Amino acid sequence: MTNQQPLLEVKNVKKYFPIKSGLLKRTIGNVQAVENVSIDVYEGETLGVVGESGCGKSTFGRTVLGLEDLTDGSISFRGEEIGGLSERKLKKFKREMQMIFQDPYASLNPRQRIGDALEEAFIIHTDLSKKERVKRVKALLNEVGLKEEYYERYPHEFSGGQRQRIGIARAIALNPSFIVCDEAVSALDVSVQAQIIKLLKKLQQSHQLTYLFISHDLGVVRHVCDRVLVMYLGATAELATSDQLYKNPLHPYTKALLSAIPRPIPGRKKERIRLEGDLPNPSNYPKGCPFHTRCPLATEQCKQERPEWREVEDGHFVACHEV
Amino acid sequence: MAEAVVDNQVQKKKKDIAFFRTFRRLVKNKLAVFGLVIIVLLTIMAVFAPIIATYDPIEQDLTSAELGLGSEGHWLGTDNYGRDMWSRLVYGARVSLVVGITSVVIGLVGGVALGLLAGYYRKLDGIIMRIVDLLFAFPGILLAMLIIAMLGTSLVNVVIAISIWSIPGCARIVRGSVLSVKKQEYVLAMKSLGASNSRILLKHILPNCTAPIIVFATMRMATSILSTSALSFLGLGAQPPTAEWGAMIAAGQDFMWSAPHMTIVPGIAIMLVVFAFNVVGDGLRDALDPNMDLGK
Repeated sequence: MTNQQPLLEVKNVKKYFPIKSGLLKRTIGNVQAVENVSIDVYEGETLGVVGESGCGKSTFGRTVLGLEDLTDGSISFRGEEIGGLSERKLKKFKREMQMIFQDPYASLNPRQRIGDALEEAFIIHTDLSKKERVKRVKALLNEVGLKEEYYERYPHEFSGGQRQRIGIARAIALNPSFIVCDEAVSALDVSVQAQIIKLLKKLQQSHQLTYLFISHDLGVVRHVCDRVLVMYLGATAELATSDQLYKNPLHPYTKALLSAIPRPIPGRKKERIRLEGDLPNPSNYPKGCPFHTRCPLATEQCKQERPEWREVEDGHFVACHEV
Repeated sequence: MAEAVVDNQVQKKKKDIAFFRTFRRLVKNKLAVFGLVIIVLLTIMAVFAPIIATYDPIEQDLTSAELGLGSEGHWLGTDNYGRDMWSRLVYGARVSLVVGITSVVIGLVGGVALGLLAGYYRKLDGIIMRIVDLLFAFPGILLAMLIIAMLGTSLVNVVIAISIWSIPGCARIVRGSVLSVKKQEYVLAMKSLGASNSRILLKHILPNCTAPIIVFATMRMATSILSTSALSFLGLGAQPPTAEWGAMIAAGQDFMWSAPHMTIVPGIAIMLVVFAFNVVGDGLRDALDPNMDLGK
């Protein structure tokens, strides 16, 4: 499934949002949304990113696509550096990198017909004639399982699942190689989720797509992803193949997360690891290991030193002193 | 082929429904209907003034000066020069409407442009909004008088003055809507597609800010018409013998006791029109607000 050449190399990426205050709007602090993330994404794989709300998963996805300015670090796509490029220079990469959004109701302009919305991609990036564009849009609609006649309709005439299909059509319009799915199925009900996941998988095959699949739903991630990255408070906690991670979680945070998956089998109660306290405020980033404030294993070392991101077995990375 | 045609017709119908939905909701508001009727009458008066007017509005006839209401041949009476009040009122509607529409349109163009820029580009926001605040700090009519004092008295300058005065309010409203619309995911989606800023602003943000702009424009018509009359009343706008409602009131001042209809008739006209635009604006605000449930 995975080649040796990474499609996307992310190195020490940081994204801070400055907190400004006072008359002169001086920066008095930072929200450390993404803290030193390094990861390679390989061609053709589906990399899951999991973590609780506010852990920086979405910000990470947006930063990778250049939708947020990079604070520090480097991002390279097929060997070319794209971090910190200007809007204009980034445009040619935008054909290659696309995004599917969480909320199918908010991600379509309510005053634009579906056909026009899908056409925009071609207007921006190609010089196809109107006739050809319409043809391409209709082909796209077919490809994501919608009728050609929907071209003329407005978003409010569609259901959530259909809208998400339109969002997918928009993302694949330019034949990209890398797509960030930001909670792409979270807003849908379970049966529709399954259809959309099936569609995503089908398109992955037919278009050789690489997905960065951001989700908080561990069940879906296990089903969909080849590898899974666990994030906590903007930092990477653990990275492994789906099998490794679900069978042999190493980081105490991953263990707690996995123990929270609801189990459909009655009687087979597994002990749930309960984390005490709340997520620390990312504007007041904890010293040492970001997880030490809630970690059941925390020692004095964890409070002082930030754990190293190290490979403990083949392809299994973890950031923890106690593993 | 035939199927496509049918489908097209269905679509057309649907598009119309969206427009009619707003209209239907507006019509449910009785006060707004009353306002609409007055606005329609005003428009008819203005457009067909030469047909509706029974006399030349500036033709003097000193033999029949200061005739009261209901006089023969002059149902609204005549003024101190014997000019027919009804005809002057009809032609005055023309002035009010033309000045109102032009100044609102110019004000909207300026205000929408500034509001879009201020709301979208954070760097321009500070500068533009401070200028807007500065314009806001002047009482409106004083600002208009200042501009007219610089440019000279004429109706054209009144239009310019009122337009400039309309810009800050519009800019603020548009900026507010832009701030909320630009956070929507579809704007982010367009950015991730690589759309240019102008494309995002004009095709995606502006169309989603139209509701408050329509309401503002309607309300602003009332203010503009009132201000035109006020400025003309003060002698800064329409000059005699132009038939303009504010100027008519000013002319009638000296005849308050001998010919009160000279002030009362145009006064009522101004009041009705301003009231009409205000209630229609109010009605539109409710009709365009998707969260407002007006019952069935």
